[in-house]
Amino acid sequence: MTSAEMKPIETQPSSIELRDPLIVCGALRTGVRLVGALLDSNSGFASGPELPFVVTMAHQWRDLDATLGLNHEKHYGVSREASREAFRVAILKLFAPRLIEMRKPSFVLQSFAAAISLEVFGKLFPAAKFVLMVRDPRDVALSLLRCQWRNPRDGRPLPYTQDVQSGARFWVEFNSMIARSVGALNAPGRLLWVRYEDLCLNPGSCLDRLAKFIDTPRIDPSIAESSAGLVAHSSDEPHPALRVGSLDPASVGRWRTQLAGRDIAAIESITAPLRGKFGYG
Amino acid sequence: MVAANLGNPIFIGGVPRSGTTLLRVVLDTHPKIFCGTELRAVHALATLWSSADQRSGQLLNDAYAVPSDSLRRIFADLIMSFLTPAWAKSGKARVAEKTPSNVLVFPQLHALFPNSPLIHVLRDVRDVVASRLERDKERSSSSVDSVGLARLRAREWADTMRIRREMLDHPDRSRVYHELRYEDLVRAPQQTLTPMFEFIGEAFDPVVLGFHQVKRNVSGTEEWSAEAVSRSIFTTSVGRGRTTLSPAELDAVMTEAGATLHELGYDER
Repeated sequence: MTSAEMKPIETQPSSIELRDPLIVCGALRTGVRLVGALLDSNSGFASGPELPFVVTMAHQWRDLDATLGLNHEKHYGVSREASREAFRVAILKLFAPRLIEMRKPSFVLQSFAAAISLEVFGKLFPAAKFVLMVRDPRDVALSLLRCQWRNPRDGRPLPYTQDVQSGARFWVEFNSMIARSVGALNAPGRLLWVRYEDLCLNPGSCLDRLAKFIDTPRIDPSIAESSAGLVAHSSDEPHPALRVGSLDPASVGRWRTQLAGRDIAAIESITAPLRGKFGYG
Repeated sequence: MVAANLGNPIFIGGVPRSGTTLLRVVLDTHPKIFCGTELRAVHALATLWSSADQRSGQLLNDAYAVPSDSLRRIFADLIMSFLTPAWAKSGKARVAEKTPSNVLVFPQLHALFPNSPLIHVLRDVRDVVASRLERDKERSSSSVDSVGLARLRAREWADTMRIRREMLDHPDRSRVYHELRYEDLVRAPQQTLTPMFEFIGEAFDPVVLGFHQVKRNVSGTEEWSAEAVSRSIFTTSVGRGRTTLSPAELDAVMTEAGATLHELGYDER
């Protein structure tokens, strides 16, 4: 059999167009899965549980391109563009059956880790847009305390779920990386910041802004149970979803009544500079 | 070997300095086989697939309707996307890929390409280490801990032998796994290559022994071998380790890998 006869293996009907995904990302407990479920319920987008290895694939492409891109071009006739396209298509093929099942044209990739790799995803998927979730670190630290998350390697509770100071430091570390990642992406028109608080307290205007950004008709604020269950499906990663429910205004500002004063002071001290930059006084 | 294998890529691997480049140029000289310079991507992609399948396979099946075989084919296609353009341009019927580290993922490659021949090049660990130490010293700007390096290189050689054992125990072994020794290849090339070509479903063609007369690209670790494959097969490298390694280096090697060397039937003296 010659190379001409050895066709690529089809994993979906040729009628499916492999479109770059919408990428919803952000730190833990900021509403990433919530937005994924919303879009899966109410728009031309389908979502699914997080697939951590997709981030690894994206990094794999970046590393191969950086170390071997020229070599592959010179010795194998594989241009860097072709290499990128090969990885892009491989990832998009993972979502195709779900899109066919849901009869939807586009996929929402929800991923925490993608938030700190925006440049990689931005290059791998040149037409992708990004929704970046942020949330008040005081509510994030409180929310993390409720998570029974453990390191799968040693079974120990993850440190940032054990006390608010660790949770606050985690918020700072992760969001610092996000800020750098946004800078590296350097594509303002492709990125929309969404505050968890706006989503829960003013869903109408927030979702209108989101709909306009992703060029879709109005997004209803309801979440279908099937979408919530799917998006929250557990993997073997250490951060299984607690629950993806409806938009809950009561989840905003819980820190005011559920955290002790000294804990609030600790979080505010740790997160001060970055908290201000993210618009949280 | 049966015709079902003909459309599947041939993968060659072995610890560096074991003769994989020599075998690669021999194969590439065959009128029916294209075997370009090292791709150096297969190991990473095969490892990534294996990890994805193990950790997310159930999730992909349940939530994404992507069963394990679909995931396998996605990654197999990804690997082939790197091989196919140059293969097509060559006009040859078969494609092979040689990167030494392929050997470390032979089990994964067999799962990804169930009908692909896997060829493992073996060589006496002492000669391998002697050759690698020579390069290690050349590349270092300061003095090296040669005994420590010898131990490390011997351990890396032993790691590939663990894969060998796994492949020898595999139920598909006789159909997909073939090994040949550098020493046999250089001492009796036609006798050694003929069964290998039969294994991959091709006839031996004496033109392959003229590999050194073909000008070709080399890259990656092949650059170490560029001179060696620009002349006809020679046997002077066989046994060099016993004379070029210091007693301390040799002792380190034999401590790490002596038992396996014995298992392979090499003379340990």
